[in-house]
Amino acid sequence: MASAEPAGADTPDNTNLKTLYRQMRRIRTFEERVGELFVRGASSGSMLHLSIGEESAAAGVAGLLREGDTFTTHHRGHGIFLARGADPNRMMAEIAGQEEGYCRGKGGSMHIADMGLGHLGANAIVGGGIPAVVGAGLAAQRAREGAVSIAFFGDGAMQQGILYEAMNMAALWDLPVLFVCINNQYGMGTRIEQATKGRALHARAHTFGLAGETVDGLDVRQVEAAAARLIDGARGGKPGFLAVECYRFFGHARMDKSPYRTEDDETEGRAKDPVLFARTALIDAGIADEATLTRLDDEIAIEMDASIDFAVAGTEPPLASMFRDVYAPGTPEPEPVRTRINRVLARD
Amino acid sequence: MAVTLTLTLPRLGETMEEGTLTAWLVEPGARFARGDALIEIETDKTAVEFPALGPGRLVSTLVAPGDHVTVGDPIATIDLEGADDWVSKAPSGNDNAERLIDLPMPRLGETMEEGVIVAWMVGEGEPYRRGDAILEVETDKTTAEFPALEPGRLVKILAKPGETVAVGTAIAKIAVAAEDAPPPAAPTRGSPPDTPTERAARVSAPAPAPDRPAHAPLRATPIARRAARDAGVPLATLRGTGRRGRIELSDVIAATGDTLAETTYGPADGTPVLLVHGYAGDRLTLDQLGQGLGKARFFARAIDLPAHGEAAAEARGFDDLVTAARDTLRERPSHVVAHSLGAAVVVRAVASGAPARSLTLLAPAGLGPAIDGTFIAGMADPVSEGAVSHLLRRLSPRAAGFSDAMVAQIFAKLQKGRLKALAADIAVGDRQTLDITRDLARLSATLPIRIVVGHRDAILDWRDALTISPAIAVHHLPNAGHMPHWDAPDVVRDLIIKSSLR
Amino acid sequence: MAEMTYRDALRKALIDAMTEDETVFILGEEVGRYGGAYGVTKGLYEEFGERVRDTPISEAGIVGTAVGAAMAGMRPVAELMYVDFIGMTMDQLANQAAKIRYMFGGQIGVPMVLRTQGGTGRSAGAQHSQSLEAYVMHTPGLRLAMPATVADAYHLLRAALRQPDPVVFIEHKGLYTMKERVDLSAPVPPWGTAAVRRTGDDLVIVTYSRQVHHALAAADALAKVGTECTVIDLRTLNPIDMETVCAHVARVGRAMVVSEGVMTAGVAAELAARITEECFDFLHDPVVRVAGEDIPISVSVALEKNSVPTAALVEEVAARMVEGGR
Repeated sequence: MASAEPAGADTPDNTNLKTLYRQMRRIRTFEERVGELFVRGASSGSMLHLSIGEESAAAGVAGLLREGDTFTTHHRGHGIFLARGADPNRMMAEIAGQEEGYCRGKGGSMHIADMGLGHLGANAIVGGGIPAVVGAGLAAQRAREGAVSIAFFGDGAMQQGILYEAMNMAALWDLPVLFVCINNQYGMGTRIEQATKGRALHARAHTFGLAGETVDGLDVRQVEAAAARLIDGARGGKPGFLAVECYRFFGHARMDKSPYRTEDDETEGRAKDPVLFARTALIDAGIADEATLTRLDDEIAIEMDASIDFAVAGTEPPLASMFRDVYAPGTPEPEPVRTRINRVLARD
Repeated sequence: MAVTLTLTLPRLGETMEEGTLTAWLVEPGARFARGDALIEIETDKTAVEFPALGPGRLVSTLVAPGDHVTVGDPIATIDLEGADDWVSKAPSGNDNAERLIDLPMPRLGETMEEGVIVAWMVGEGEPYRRGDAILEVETDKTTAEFPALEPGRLVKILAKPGETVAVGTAIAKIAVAAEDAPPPAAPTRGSPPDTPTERAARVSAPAPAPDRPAHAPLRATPIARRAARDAGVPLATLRGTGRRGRIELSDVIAATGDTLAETTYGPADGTPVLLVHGYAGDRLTLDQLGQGLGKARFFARAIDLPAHGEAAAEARGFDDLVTAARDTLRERPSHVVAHSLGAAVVVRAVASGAPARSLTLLAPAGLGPAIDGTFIAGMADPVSEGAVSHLLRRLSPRAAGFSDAMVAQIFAKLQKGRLKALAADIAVGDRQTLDITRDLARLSATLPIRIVVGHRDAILDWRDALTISPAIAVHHLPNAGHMPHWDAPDVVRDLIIKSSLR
Repeated sequence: MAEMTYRDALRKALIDAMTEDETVFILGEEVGRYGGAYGVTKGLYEEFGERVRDTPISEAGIVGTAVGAAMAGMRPVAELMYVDFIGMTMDQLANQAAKIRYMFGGQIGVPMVLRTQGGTGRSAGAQHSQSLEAYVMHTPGLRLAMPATVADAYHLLRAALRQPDPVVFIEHKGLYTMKERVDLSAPVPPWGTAAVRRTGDDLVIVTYSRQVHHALAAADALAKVGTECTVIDLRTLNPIDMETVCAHVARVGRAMVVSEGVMTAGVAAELAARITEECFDFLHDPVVRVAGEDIPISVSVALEKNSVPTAALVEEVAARMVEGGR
């Protein structure tokens, strides 16, 4: 990792720490609860990718977004959207494939989106969502309202060519764009060392003329500070790149028991827990005591339990909705296969 | 001595019953030749002339211009002056032998509204057979030959090559056998749906009339279209029983399937087996086998191929047999047992797409070149009862037991010469013109096939079966001749039963 | 006779090919230490070392590498984790692999295999559930195999590795755990030949990949009511065995095509067109397509299930076709 010491020479800014902790705890609890959907028979989706261990990147960056800003995420994006202000009920319902979900049960965990909050979409294609922020940045530049567009992706996408096309264009045109690589050390089962020799990720951005930093994700305050600098720059027409170093606590997806890493690796990696780190910092700084934080944790647990209940109680999308939204409302929908067959086989 | 006869008014048009005499074209006392127009009559539809059917001299006229005349009315007396009596033989007004009708421009496609006459392929006065191309028509889409739907004679061409004519407009006068009814070449869309043509009424008794709304395009399956084309039946005359009134193969078969005579054995819900006889045979040659299969609860069906037995259809050659067999096979996928030439017919029919569940070929033709040409020619053009009896013994020793009466009956049938065209098509001297080995090899990939040969076969060379595709089972009967099902009936029957039970 | 899964059979084909031919190697995401996203290459890294090469998540690079390696005399087996990712590789696949032999005047071929998997059944959403074989079939220069059975998983992959040209080999994610008792030494139809999985006189169902099993289930159900279907498993979509298809359609006169891919301009459309053209004179009915809806796949299980043909739909349509012909 780039900087091992979390709280270096700078005095950490504790102003937002409680808010950031709450946000990270919400993300963690949400993702800890997601598995319950399967047990309760309500989930659609074998594709469930948890960001536990990466909460600081979500809370530290996405928390800075404001109205008018836009962003895209990768397939491991629950936390980012929660940090941006998502309704956990509608998220959980979407993961369960229910009509009440953000995408009416069509998208699922890997494809949550909400235009109201500027979420241009989670993506199941590695790198797939990155270039859209160049386009969104172009629109923001034209509108001159100071909006920024952020692409969130994992270290796996660092080896996708599309990233470099996008970074080059953003730099070339001075767009209000930020590229955020959440480096959880694993592209599925492949450690970053096995995927690239160029470990200085931000250096790649420098090559294109972007502002670039790497920050340790252990301390959410550091992440937020770095993100604030880069977002400010981006709003001013200086696009940037931020790599957040963290550790993916669990496997790639729900069924992955991480056979490619040892227990020792995991123990060491999980020691870098941004949620626990922030909790300890809150107590150490005297901002909150143990009892207060436990009460906060319990409140969050209740909120997330409720999201599970909401999702389970939701309704399956009606079959008729299958043909809706392939094209714009009011334009012709695809004709169902059965209709076509019926026409062929009609008796009279 | 002069013979004076009374000439009556014939029916000069399809629906003509009466008309007005407009002119005499021959003066009383004048001589006329065959084909000279004698009178002109105006009917409700058109003006027609009455051509003399033979030479003679007009003696006196019995009606005058302006007179109203009815078919069958005496119109003149004529003197034949020693010529053959064509007057008595001529069609009288009430005679149904031949009628003169309009040939309308056919509709050759669903969207065709008019066509250009490219060429007449039959000359005026020339007869033609059903299926003969009469003329060539060009539409906006294609150029097509129009085949005759019934036999007849082209009397007069009304539309010359190069002329553009609307569908339904008369393009020629043709003479047809009246009992066959006028062939509506291609009913126009505008024809009232509630006036079925006579042909439709005849050919599709269970479904008397097409009841498509006017202007509705005709619906028919591809296979029905082809079957109708093969049979020379205009689709427009058929009633479709399929989806949306679609004409299906079964509708065409219902309208045309009266060409094969057949006998069935066993329960109708039994496994279907089709029995096909060989050259110069008929379904009765398979009677014993059919009975055996029927007792074993199979549903066996023996047919007469065209030009054989009681089949109404004639055969211009091998292909006509194949077409007939194909139509029969399509009615119901069956196990097929076929003998000699019938085996070759069936193989070709299945190779060209007819369904079959298995093939059992008894002494099949078409496996090699050798054939007893004397037998083929002798049956096609039999010299005497004795000669036929002799030839029959080459088939099987059983023929020696045929009574004189049976032989006489066979001779009488053969003497009609129905087999002549077929014989010329399948063999030249002692050589077969058919070769089914490639078809067999291909079919054996998807179809169970077995061959039965008798080593005493005097018509074909059983050794031809030795070189057949290894995918085909060959059963050898050392003591049988060309008729294994006669010479070893139990063996053949059991073979079929055993192998068709699947 | 051994019982094995579709996945096992694929693995065995890879092992046998690598054992026989030193130039065969595997590359792709997670094919090595991880053993493949669906476990097909499990244990191969341990057995063959660096001949089983993990790659970064760089799909275009993976396929492009395979193209170059094949041109340089190797026999690469590239793995694309999901066929949905084919879009990212399309230049390398369609403009490079598929064109090289032709545009270079026949000087060199690209004997590579691109293994991938597609189809619905795991509620994997719009970008992980597609059936994109039509993209491949629409690209001259690419061969295309789609095994439906355990035995074919083995034999078609072995045969693919003997082809002189690029082969896209699309497995079905719903079949990996399917088990069969197979004798891999038993003769199989050669490459490019369809397998007739069942014979009947009432209807021909032409299909491939997982839909073969739906067609067979439908045929079993229909047999109980006296309707007999022929079920043809195409096995390869390029080359395509129209000879077998036409022999049976001409015999039966009624055909249905079943494909999981979307209906419009899909594989089923091509098959229906060819059957109609080549068997026109024998048809009692229009060739009916039972295919995927023209929509993306939803994560919702209910919507996903109804987006592609089910055995029940195949059965229902087959029954209606046959009934209409009686």
